[in-house]
Amino acid sequence: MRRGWIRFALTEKRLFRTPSYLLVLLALPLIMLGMRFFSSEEKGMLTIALYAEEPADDLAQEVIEKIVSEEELLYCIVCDSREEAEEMVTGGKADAAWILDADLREKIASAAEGRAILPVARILVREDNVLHQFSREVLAGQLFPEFLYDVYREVVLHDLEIDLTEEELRSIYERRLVDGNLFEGEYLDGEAVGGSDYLLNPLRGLMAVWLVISGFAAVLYHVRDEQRGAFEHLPYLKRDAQALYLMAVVLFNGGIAYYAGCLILQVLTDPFREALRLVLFLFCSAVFCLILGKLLRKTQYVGAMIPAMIILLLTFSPVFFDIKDFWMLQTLLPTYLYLNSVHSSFYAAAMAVYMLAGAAVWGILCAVHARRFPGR
Amino acid sequence: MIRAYLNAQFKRTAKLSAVVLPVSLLLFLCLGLVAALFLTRGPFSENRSRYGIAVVGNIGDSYLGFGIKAVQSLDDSRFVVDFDTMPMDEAEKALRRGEVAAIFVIPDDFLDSVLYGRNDAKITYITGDSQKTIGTLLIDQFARLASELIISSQAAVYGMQDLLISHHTDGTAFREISDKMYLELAGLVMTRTALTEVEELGFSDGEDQVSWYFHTILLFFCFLFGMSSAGVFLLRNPSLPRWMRMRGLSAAAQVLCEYLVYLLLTLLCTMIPLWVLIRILENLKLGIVFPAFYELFPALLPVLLLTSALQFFLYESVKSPVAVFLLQFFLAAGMGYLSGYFYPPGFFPATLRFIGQLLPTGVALSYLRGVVEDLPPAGAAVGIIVYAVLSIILSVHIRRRTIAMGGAL
Repeated sequence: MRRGWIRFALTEKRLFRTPSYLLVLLALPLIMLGMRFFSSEEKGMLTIALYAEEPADDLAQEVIEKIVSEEELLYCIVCDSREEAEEMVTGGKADAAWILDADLREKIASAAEGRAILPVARILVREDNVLHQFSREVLAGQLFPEFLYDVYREVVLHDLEIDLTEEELRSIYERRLVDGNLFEGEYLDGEAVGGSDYLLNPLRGLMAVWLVISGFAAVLYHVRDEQRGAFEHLPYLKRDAQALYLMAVVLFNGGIAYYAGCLILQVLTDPFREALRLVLFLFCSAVFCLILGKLLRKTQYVGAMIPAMIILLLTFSPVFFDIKDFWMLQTLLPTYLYLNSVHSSFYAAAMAVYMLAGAAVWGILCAVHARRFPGR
Repeated sequence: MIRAYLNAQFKRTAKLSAVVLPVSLLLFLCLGLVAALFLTRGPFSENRSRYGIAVVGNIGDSYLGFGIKAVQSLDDSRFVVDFDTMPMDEAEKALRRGEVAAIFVIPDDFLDSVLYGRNDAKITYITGDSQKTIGTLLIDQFARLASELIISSQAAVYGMQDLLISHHTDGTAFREISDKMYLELAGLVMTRTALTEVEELGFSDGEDQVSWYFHTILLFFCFLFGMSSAGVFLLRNPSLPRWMRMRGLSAAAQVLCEYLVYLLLTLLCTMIPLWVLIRILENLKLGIVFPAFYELFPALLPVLLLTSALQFFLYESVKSPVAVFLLQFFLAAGMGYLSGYFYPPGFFPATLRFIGQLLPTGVALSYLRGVVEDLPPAGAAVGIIVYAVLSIILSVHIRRRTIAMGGAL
């Protein structure tokens, strides 16, 4: 046990001999801090240029104010003229322009009178796509409640011929408006879907991939030492133990930097549960990298394989998007299991199984290799 | 001396390229697969536009079930969302397999809660995502919009009903008037998006999604190549620079020779697999027009000058193999993220967008896009030259210091 700690400390000393390693570890949480700071600025998945044909129209002003303050997925720029709004779209500075017609309130009231929906706003786009269809719903969603109110007014005043003032009508209507959302979001483990930043969300996945890459780097380091003859005096099983020590140290250091990064990003759920899952993930990454290192065995092969691994990990793990069609391949990737385990004990259990199975496979590979070269 | 050193480097790198070239080809094929997946199943793809939602609850032939069928047939949201009713265990399996994006669980008393205006029962939507992805965000927004529609419609109907009651209208007349209003409102809700009119201006100054991601994925490979060629740098004889210096070969000459050979390796391992990939993609007839190889080649050449110079500098300056790999990952994935390789640059706030454009990844993207799209890339060209030259100068400086201090690579 004591020898193990000494070896651990010596490996740490070797790694930290070069200041660049410490700088890289510190860079991760610092970069996350910078991202958190800068991502708090105004932004949106779509940039919308807003313009009201009649700026003095109180409804148009109300709608614009609501859109600017409430729509967190849209970044809105209020323009002074229709031409400015159009130029922003054609020049690529905005994804769409929303132009509210003049006499907005009168037009909606007139449409409600005829119970027929007519266009009262124009959406100018370069090309129509998914996000624009969604944004069309958003704009209609801002205008439609006013239309509904006018329909209600028409029904009461003209169909039912009940004589009321505007204030009385408005008061009865607003008495029935309920605050809050009729929907509530949950993850698979029952935890509520909280507010979070779409720009910061992928960073957790990127950091998880970074951790796995650090495991590969440890394997590469070890394989390079082996190719240079640093372990000529050791039998193969002891060389594998060296690889294990190096892996443990590198992943331990990387895990601390990762946890610090997650704390800064405020993406952790329960800190204790997250720490346990992180430990499982580190073990899974260790066996994953050690197995591949054992199979490839040369610096040039390991190095050549790493970019392909990065692409596989980024594509098939829920970092930027969540594909679930290739589960047989995906369950081999530690990042897939780990990122899905954040809100699912099923995947946490899968990581435990993965760790044990992976350790067994690596042990078998080591034993087979040692048997092929006895006496070393 | 220079020629002999160059020859030695060529021979050494040629041996390593026997491994690097086939792996680069494999890497390009992986990238092609990624591109195809991203374009067909990513959050912004047209094919991905319909989000499947599993609906769980005792809806049966109730108004809610009728409402869901009506939404599926008549509402504009049918182009974006696909509802499918099923039991909870099937829904959870479908969610785990990715067949649906979310589960909507409708409690038994939801309909009564809405009809009687209590609104105390809520529909729970369960997402299978591990975090709030863009898909979850869109569903969240969709749920909020639907909620506002329901609440506004309720306020209109119940406000009217309150007045009917206060004016002593009840029984058959009350029901007839209420039903008439429900039907009218249902029809109006279905056509709500007609309040807006879409006008497509056609394309100008913008770049379509397909070519954007083709360029970014290509550049992502270029920035990752430093890892593929780790054998070139990590297996160097550590004493060689000092030995060559003693034989009269300066640090600058050493660096330039090694850089030239590395650049040739990069060109070989990028252009050949790229040509193969474009041929494969064209033969697959995906209905997408890819840039021709002869258009990409002159555009990529300066970019590869930049990436190879940067990678050379990283390997020269960072002695720890672990740290150099992690830095390469920061360079490719981290900076690539900020420069819009994964999410469109428009997603980022102005400051991050500006930073992203100045990074090597941003400069490379601006240049590549500019040349392929026939837009003047002068600023980007200057950026490429500055980064490349600076990297080489710093590499020479570090090599001199290493030799002078008696250190090894």
